[in-house]
Amino acid sequence: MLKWNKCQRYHQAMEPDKASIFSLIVFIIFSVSIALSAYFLLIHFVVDTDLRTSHREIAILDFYQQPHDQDIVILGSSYVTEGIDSYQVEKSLREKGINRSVYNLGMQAETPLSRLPELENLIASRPRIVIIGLGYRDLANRTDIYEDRFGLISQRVYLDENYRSFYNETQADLLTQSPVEHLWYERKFIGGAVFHLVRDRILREKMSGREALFDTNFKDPWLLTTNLTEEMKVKKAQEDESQDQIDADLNPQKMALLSTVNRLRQNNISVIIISMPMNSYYSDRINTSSRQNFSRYLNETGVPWYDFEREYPSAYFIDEGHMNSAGRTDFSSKVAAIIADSEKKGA
Amino acid sequence: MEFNSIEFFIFLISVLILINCLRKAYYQQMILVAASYLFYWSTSNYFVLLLLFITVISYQAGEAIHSAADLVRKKVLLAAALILLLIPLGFFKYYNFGVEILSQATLPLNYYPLNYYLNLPILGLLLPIGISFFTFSAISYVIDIYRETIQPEEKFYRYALFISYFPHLLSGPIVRAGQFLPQLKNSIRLSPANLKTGVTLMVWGFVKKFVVADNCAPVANAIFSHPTSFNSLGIIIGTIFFGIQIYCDFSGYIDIALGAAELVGLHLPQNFFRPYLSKNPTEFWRRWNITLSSFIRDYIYIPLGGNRKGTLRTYFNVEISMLLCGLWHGAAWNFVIWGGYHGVLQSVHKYISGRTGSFFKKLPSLNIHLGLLVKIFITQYFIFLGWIMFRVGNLSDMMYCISKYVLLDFNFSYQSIGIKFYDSLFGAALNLAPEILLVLVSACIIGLILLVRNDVLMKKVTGFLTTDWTRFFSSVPNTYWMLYLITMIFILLCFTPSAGSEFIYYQF
Repeated sequence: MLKWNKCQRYHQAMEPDKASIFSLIVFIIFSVSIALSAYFLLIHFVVDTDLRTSHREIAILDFYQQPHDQDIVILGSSYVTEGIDSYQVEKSLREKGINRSVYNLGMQAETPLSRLPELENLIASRPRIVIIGLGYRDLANRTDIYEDRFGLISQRVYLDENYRSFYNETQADLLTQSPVEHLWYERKFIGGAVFHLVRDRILREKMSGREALFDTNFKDPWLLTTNLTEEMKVKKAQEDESQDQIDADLNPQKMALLSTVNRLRQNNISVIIISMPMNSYYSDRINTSSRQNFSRYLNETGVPWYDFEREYPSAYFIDEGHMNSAGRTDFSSKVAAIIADSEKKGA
Repeated sequence: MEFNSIEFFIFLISVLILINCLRKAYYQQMILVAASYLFYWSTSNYFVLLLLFITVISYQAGEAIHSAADLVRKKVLLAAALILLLIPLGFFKYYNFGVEILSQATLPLNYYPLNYYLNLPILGLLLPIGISFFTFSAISYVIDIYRETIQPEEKFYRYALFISYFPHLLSGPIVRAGQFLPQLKNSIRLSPANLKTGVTLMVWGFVKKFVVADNCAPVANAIFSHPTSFNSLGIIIGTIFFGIQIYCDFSGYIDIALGAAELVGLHLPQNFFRPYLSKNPTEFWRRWNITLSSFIRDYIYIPLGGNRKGTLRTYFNVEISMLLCGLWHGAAWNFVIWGGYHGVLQSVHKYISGRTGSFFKKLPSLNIHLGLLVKIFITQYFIFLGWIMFRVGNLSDMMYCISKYVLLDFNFSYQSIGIKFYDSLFGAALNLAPEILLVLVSACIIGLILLVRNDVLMKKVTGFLTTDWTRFFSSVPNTYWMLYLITMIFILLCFTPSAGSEFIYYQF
């Protein structure tokens, strides 16, 4: 161990160790190698382990690695995560004599564009039916995606050259990182990983409800804890109005949806689109042209789609679009009915 | 080519190999001049011609002043040289600011011919990186020859190396000919001691810049980009983070520059000496950006009369010097205000210490631990207040921040800060565990109480804070030095944020 007094004496004497330049260069190279190795080990054993359990995007890729040829998967944003209860869908299906496993793979702020890079992984797992839950924001011309998602999945997905133009430069660069770039990129998760390690292993505290969102459970719906008052619901519904404007032109989100639907159908995977239920406070502000463009575009995909936008009153929501327990139970039964109908037609 | 780029490392290693392959000082210095111009060209492109212009003008002016027959001639030559040297700096750095002031000043007159002729266009000028630093080095050379404190350099290539030496070219320190040129008498040889010191300094500088400064930046930026949405706690946190950021950014750069210079074997002067331990504003300027403040002292404050012409004139000279110091930092009102504020601080300190110096000396408690800590705390309170003026360009935002910093709103709820800065190490820590802030503040208070009450602890802490750690680590045995390197490189790898920022002082 470094002795303080010895160092102090060295410091006072100011007589550097006798060493040749060559040996110092060897020391430097050796130090860099050791530091790099320690960094690699930290990333491999601490960060990667943490990411697998704390990031839903990685858990979803793990999910795709298993065959799911008899299963039904549901994709979409937090409206889907919150609005569809897999257990309830399975139960309703069983009542109709259909025994299927249903997995809700929804993710917060998900859009067709953010899911597109994982398309080949999804296809490889060969699900029986893919249900895509959509809202107006999903087809609006916006590319503000949580970019770390792309960085995290980059080593396990394949970005088709045709899709590259859908993304901005940063997003495309993140998606096509080399292994070395990825190793360097992962340093931004060291803080979180160490924090989780201390919390879970040393302090032995349970993760908060919000963090549970990222866990690996695709059955239980994620529950928002805040139930807003009517007044707050109205206020929330007025936020970010520009994000819901859908024009007639093609945009990356629409192209991503079309590409997803086409690739799934080419691989004989049934696709169903659902226009997700919305609180009327939110729905009322959607202008006519946006609504017409949304419907027209869903028709153009060529797959059956079901409109639940105005199906439920405000009492079924906790805010502008996330459903509460009553809403979720009822809506999940309706989703089960759609699946049963599809299965019947398929049979 | 920046200090943090792979290109710079390749460049530095190539230069080191080349100059060590050559034995003669002449060839080594020629290589260094060529390398320095290549370095500047890679960052500033055709502005390399400006560097050459400044070098030629100041070199020729030095020769001419030295050989001038009489004092009047010397003065005329000096004035001409200073004008020629300051024109590029004035044009690139202050033209737009001057036009803005002129248009605002003439607008109320509403006199058509005046307004018409003074209606100069605002130009989209790019500021050549490092222009303030190399221009000031050239000015110091010319004035020192005029004052006959140095002799003109006989060889142009040596003088060109003094002005363009790549470690100090972009952000200082401002080098004086008297410090640098004598080193060129001998040839350069890479020594183990230089290698060890150079690498130690560079690694230390990188950690300061990339781990500390770049992790503080997102917090300070998040707060000062929309300061009016923050309470007193938010503004104080932002100010502290910016104070740490600017110190570690600039002194980190200087450490890298000093390290690179050490490797080459041509040393540069130190620019920082623990400024945040200063006990008064005057001492702060003897510890912060030392080469700039000594330039201002020697070439502005003392020629104005210094403290030799009475009390009022001393305050006036301090104020003028500090206003120019503020203006040197940037062509904007906030820098002028910042400079003026520091002038006032120093004048007030001179006034108070002149009046009450003997009174405080009679109070024993203020001359020991508590007094020392109180002095440091009060000084740093005002220094950090100054950082608000430095950081916030918009005057109404600046006033808001100052009012929140000085007149506390006593809204200390952490949640009301509401910052989201996941990309920052400190930000993430604060965000994940707000209790950290409370723990840190409590630890500081307990630590201070212990310090005040315990002589031995105070001695140890003082020893720790006043140790020159880079010198210390470069003098430890090689095995320990390797441990230092491994730790520092590992910290760099782990905590360098993904969104790095340029060195702040590049813009000056």
